[in-house]
Amino acid sequence: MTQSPLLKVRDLTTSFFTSRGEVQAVRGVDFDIHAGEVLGIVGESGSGKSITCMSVLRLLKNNGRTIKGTAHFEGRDLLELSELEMRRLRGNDVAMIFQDPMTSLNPTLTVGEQIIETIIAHKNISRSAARERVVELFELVKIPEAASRLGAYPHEFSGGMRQRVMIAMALSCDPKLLIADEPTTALDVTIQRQILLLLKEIQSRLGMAIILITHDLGVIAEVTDRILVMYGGTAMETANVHHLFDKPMHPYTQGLLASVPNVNNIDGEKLKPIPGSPPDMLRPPKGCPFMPRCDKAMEICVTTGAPEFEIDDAQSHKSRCWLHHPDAPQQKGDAA
Amino acid sequence: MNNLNQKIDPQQWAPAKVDAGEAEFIAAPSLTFWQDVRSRLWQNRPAMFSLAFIILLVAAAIFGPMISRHTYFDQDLKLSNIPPILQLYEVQNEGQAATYFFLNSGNFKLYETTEDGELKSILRAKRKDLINKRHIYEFGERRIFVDYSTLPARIVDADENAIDAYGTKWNKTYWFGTDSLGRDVLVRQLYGARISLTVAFIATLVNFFIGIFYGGVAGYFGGNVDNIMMRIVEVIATIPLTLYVILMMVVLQSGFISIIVAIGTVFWVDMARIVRGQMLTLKNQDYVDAAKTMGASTWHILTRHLLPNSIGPILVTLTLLIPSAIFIESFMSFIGLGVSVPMASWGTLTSEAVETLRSYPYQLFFPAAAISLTMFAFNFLGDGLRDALDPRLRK
Amino acid sequence: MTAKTLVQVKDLKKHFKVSSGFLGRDPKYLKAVDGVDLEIKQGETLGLVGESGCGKSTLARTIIRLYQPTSGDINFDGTNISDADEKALKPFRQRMQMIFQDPYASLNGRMTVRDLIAEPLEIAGIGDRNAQTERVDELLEIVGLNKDHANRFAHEFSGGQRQRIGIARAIALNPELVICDEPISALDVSIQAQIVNMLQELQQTLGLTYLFITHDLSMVRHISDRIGVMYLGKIVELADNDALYDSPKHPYTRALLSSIPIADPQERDRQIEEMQGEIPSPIDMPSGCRFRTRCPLATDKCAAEEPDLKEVAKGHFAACHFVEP
Repeated sequence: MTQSPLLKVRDLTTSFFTSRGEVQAVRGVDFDIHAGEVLGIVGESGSGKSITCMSVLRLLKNNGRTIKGTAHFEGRDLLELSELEMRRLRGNDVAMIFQDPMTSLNPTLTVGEQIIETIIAHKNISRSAARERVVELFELVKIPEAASRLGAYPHEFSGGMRQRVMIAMALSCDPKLLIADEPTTALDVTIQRQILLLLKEIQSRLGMAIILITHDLGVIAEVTDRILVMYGGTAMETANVHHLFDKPMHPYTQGLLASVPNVNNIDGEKLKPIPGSPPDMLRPPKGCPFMPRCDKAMEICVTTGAPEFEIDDAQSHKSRCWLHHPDAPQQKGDAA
Repeated sequence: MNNLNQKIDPQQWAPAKVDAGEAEFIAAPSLTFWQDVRSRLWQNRPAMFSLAFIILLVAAAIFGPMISRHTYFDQDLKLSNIPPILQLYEVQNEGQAATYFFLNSGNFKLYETTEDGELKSILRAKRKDLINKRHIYEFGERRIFVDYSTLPARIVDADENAIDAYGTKWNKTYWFGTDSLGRDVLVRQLYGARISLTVAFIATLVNFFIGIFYGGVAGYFGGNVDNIMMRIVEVIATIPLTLYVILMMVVLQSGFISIIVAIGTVFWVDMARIVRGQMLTLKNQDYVDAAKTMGASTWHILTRHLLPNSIGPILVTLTLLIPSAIFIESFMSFIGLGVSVPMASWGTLTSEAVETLRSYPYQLFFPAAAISLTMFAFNFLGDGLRDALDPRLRK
Repeated sequence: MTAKTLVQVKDLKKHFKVSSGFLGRDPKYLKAVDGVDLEIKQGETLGLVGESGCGKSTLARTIIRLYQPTSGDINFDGTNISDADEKALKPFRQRMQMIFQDPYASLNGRMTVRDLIAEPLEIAGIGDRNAQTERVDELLEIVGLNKDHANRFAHEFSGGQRQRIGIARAIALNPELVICDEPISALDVSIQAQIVNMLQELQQTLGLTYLFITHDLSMVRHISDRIGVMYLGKIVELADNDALYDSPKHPYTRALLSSIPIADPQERDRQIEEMQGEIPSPIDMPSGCRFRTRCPLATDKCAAEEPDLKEVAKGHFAACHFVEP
């Protein structure tokens, strides 16, 4: 990619300081996202995928702090901006939608009112112009009978419809980047499909960049261009979506793909689970966080976390694993 | 790509000895639920101070009257209404030891003390000049006048000069002073603590048993049983509690047992509601369903699952009911319907002290402070317990 | 394969009253399960899928008699247990157990692991303290935990470990039927495979029969012998595993299957069966076929007449007017 990235995150490190100690949620994560691109961040619980994006938007709860790193959005480091500047940015240039729309929407205001408020807060337009814009948005997200639904309250919508309202709210100020944190996890599979297609359609129409955070490999495969795989607060592998599924390089990614049933490739074989459990981020392992569960772990993995190795220059496929070091012994089956 | 050029020791490429079973290892020590609660409560300063205060108070209430040299009913009318803090004056007499005394600004009398603040006796005035509003005292050759024509009263010598105070000392004979009948306020306070706390604890305990049983049955069985039981509770709750207790006291006659019965018969509604609420929430939990699929009896489910998990809110409610009980008992005694004279409860002490409020404010200060501080302490403790037990605050 | 039928369900209904209406005149019912016929054969894994609100969880809980059926029959190994009271049910409780969805809510956080797993033994009055302890140790090993875990408390374990504890508890009494109510939905992806593999192994070694309830259409394909699809309280299709995925007959099944996200970017542009609209309320259901409000094939016949679950191919049942046997 020769154009400079829309968002450039380097060495992002966030911890939560609890009564039981420091929980290292994000440990030195780098990634880029370019305009118009859909980046998927996939990881399990405790991987730090949500906290990474919350850190970028400075939405951490009281005892969380980003202690290191930079996050340059269109050249400005978001971690250095004042709270006022961040407020202008949120909802305006960067929008976020969450897993549970019911908790993100105010149950005492009509949906129309909430979005109109958001628009007026960021743009200098009249109320009636804002209202027209909301109707436009509802039509964009395919809410039937858009105009009449402005006066409805959140509880009058079903789960899928509420998520569409959230998307409409997020798009209301033409953001350049949309961060979607598990937007379809709580939805039924048929509604999930509709929402994902909607996101894809909107994205290509508006040229918006999307960061899609999820734990579902199927969802990632359906809609993203590039993928970042996270584990134990660390970025393990980054690749173009086709490359990742075709030739996963990191043992964790390989393990993950082997443990998920593919509905089309049924061959009666057992799934190959990854033994063990995700690490406790209160006491993360010293070297590579995945080491305790990796069947290819080497001595060096116990003490030192690996740097990122480039796999294939043109495709910008990177994997954080000692196996890719030129001196490492070639192990059978690591090119899955 | 920083250490690509760094030479790595070939031994580092050997396979690591990985035991996936180790991945199942739990590093943290095993804390029971209560140990966890205790540690969180410990970190809550106000709650800890309150707990310490309550423990001290209970200890003082039990042991105080035993080790004090005064009893709660001994009267000494000559030494009535003496404050706890004495401003002493010294009078030198040639050839004799100095005499110390203090002025009781309430009744304009002088009392002799030791240098240290121990009361000796009341001093007899030589003469009382009521027209000029002076009392005249003679100490050997010296004459001292207590002039109360203008307030505050002053002590002056023969030349109309005010005498300087010698110093301020704590009353060593009666640490909290005496009341209008010359009884030691401190020991009466402690005795009152015994009464007030006993009433509060027992009444709360009665609530506990009635409330748990009632609320438990209503919540667990639900449906019509619950409906009927809760309607009864609502009726009882609408009756103004204080009014009801007053009526009860009139019927049962004043007395220690009566007030416990009176408070006990109406107080349980709060506890019943809390327990019922807990039951309603908890009985839908999956682990209750799991127990049912194993064929558990109702008794088993109640005692092994529902009650232990409700203990938290029950305990908090208990702790917060105690100050209410204290207050009600005090109020009843204050208006004359509680324990009877000469038994002292904080309420009766307050009631007696109100009469002398203008002149001897300290007499009201102590029981009022006792009631307030104790209520504060239980409230802070209850709040602290509630926070410590809240699973959401975990993490 | 004439395997014995372990559970037979006939026209089972479970309705919940949601309001009494004005003066009790017009009561409204939530028809969670509204006429289900089902057979679970011994040793098989019957998968039950459907979206939220379809009634699969209620069906499971009614079969295991956590609820009393509103009407219909449940036969367990030949005996009708639909109307049995707790006393009559006692011997059956040992033979059918359940694994719950939420590993946090299904274990009493105040109990030690040992107490949790021993509870069924305690309730059934089996063995003395020592025998129970031995059995608990045995069970812990079977599910891949070790003995020192027994004295710890449930809240100290991760989701996957807690689910193992739940499984150990469920098999403690050597049941014949184990109903798995979304046992892996709350777990991380890399842990799901561990639990599913364990369940399959246990089925082999202990001869268990599973009713596996889930909304995960990929996982149910992997684990089931036969699969039933539920919609608004009724079974709309029931078939062998391969038959259902290779040739789904009911329009709902087809829409459902084509919506599954596939972990393969090559499959992105595949043909999708569309389904309009939203699920109707289970309190106010459409007349005739309940799926007709969203079905691309709906006609007047569908509004007038509710289709029965008919056998349209060998062992393959569908409830739709437009499916030819």
